[in-house]
Amino acid sequence: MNNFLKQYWWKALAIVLLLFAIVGGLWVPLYHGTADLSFPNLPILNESIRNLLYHVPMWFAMVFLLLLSFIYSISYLSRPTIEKDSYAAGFAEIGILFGALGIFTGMIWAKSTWGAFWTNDPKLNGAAIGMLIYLAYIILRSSVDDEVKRAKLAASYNIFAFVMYIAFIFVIPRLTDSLHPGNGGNPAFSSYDLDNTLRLFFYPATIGWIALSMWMAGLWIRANNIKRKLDENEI
Amino acid sequence: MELRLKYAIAALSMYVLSTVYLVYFSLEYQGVLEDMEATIWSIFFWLIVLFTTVNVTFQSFSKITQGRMLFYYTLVSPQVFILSKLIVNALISLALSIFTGMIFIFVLGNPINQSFIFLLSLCLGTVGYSLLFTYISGIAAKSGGNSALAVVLGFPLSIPLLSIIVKLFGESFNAQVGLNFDNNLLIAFGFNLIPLLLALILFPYIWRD
Repeated sequence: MNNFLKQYWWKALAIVLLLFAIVGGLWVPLYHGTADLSFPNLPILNESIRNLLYHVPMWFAMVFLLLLSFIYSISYLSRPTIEKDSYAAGFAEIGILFGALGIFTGMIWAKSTWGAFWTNDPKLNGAAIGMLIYLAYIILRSSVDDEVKRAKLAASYNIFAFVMYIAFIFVIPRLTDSLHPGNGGNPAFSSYDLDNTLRLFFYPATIGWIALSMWMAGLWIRANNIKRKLDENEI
Repeated sequence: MELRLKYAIAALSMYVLSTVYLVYFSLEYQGVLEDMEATIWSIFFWLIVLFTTVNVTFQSFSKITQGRMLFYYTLVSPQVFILSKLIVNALISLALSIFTGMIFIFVLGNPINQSFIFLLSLCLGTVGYSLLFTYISGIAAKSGGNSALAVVLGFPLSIPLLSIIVKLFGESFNAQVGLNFDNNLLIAFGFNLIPLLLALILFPYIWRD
């Protein structure tokens, strides 16, 4: 993983894909009956359909980073090294950042389409609970001074929390309807709203945001590792 | 193992009693006690059960001294240790939440129409909480924190079970519908099973300092 984080090709790919998705996403007009290259012009959504290229990929990036953090926690418990712990922590922290960005972009979108920043929607509640769980993870880490003990406790909490959270995400849509596409009678994007032009930008945006989040997490983890080594040398 | 700590259980009973009376007086002076809705009943009930469960589980770890822990290391395997903790905590929490329910009925009136659903959701909810919080308290106590850390770590994880149990619980106030063995019951059972299995798998990794 350390070698992969230091390679350049996927970072260049991230820049290219994100530039393509952001510039293209702002430049392509909505469909008015004439243009060849256009986004679907849907009622209520209107121009805000472009937010699809930010909001949804940010959630994908968050889930991806939290999954990596979960995997590193498992691998820490089976064969402990302090590097694995720093990976698990760094991925979780940048995952929280992307979750916050996802909530923020979602709130703007919700204000313009549903009329309120926050609604009692199962997916919003799920997102909020997820944020709380991982903020608690950070608090747990900061409350233990001993390095090995912190790594052990944080890893076991991370595994426990992740499994509970995944179970919750599968369960919660059964409880109430959601305003999100694909729930409670709302059409999913994949069925017919997500046309080929939007897809052309959506998939690069998804890969680009995930790669960017990996890049940020990699820098964050390496910076933390350097900081830890400096501290050790001082002592 | 826990019977040595009789005073702790007495203290917890007192904790429940005084909290219920706190609720009673605040409702009394707001003047809403006469035509109180069953939803308020259930909200206060589950909040008290939640905090009582956190206290039960946390004191079961924080009261263990270093020396006695050493004694347990040499004597039992971690699975046996956590399993006994889980069972004992579940039983104590269950007894306390039934006690809470009885005082609630006595003091705040009885909105329950279907006692079987009431008891079933009470058992599933309380046992689920105590399983979850036993493991979380184990982590919190190991980290040297206080019970506030257990609350911070556990409450986000307890929301899923809470949302389902409150839904089930609400059915017991309704005289019309009978018990239907639908998904909610299965999900609530699942949320009892998941923390149990995870605790058994993960506890061996954290129990040695």
